[in-house]
Amino acid sequence: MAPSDAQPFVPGSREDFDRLYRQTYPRLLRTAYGVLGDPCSAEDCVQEAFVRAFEAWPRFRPERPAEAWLQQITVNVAISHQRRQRLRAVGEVLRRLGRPQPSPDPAALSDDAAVVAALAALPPRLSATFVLRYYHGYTNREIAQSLRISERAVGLRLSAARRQLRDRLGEEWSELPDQGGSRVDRSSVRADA
Amino acid sequence: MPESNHLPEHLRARLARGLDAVPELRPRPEQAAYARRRYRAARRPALALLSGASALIALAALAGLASTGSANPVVWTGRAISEIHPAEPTPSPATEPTAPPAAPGAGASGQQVHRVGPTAVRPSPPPDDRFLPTIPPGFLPPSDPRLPRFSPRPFPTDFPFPTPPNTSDFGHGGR
Repeated sequence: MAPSDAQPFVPGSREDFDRLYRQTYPRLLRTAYGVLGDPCSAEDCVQEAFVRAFEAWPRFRPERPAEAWLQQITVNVAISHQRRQRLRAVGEVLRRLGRPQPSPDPAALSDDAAVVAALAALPPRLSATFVLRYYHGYTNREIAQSLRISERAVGLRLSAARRQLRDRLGEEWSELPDQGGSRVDRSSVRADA
Repeated sequence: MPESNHLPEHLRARLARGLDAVPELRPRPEQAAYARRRYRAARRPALALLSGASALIALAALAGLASTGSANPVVWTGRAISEIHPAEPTPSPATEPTAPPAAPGAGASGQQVHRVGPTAVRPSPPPDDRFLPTIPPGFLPPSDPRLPRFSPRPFPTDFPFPTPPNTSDFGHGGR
């Protein structure tokens, strides 16, 4: 998917896995950060995702994009992590017999941090799809193949994410009609950043 | 609904700025968590060997239990030895062969010698008079009457030497 992935990876090769780690770690970290909203948890999830990938590395099919494969593992790990975190939070609330602490108000945060906080408050499947689509620039088809869902499900998840972000961040996040390109140019996004 | 989810550029830029704010360490494979799993992967063959050996031992125990009906491994071993060497008779005094033992080197002359473990070096029991060859009657020629007959005679009393104690009668009734 990325230009640096042009050189094929040999399954089971330790050197190639190290190269894959260097190439994909920053993007996987941002995916996990968008789902979880916490840098430390995101780091833990990415490391766990690489551990799982390393164990399955000898069985990796080279015809599949390596980064998409890792994104799928990372999203799964992040979803599991967030589920555990929420269960832990519920258990903590029950233990205290008090009311849960309200989540930080996005309006009180800076604009950029508010986006991340609002993303992390979404259901993890929605936030993961949103980050893959609008940050990494995957097409809906690529996301569908990576997450093993249908393209229609990808579109539904994106629409749901946009609705919930609009409720949290403002009307400007509401869904607009498509204005052309289906593929987001990642380099332009980085340049804007 | 495919490909109809458009996000304006300024919102994408906000999203990118928010996600790029994550503190990012330089990815170093040697410090990654998977780098410590190398040893676990290397241990897998040893674990497979260990589990295979355990399965074989369990299978052997089950087979031994089923064939002998005993849970004692010594019984299994004895049964296995008897199955491997079934023709080895146990020597007993009642069935001791009358033939003399084979001379040393008999095995080298073509005669097959079956040596099994410690029985090959076991010392032969001392000969018993009951199993010596008996002379049938009439085998020996009749005795010549001209020959002097042996008769137990007492020692002469004028023997110059004193009679040793407890040897004066030699079991012949004494004088």
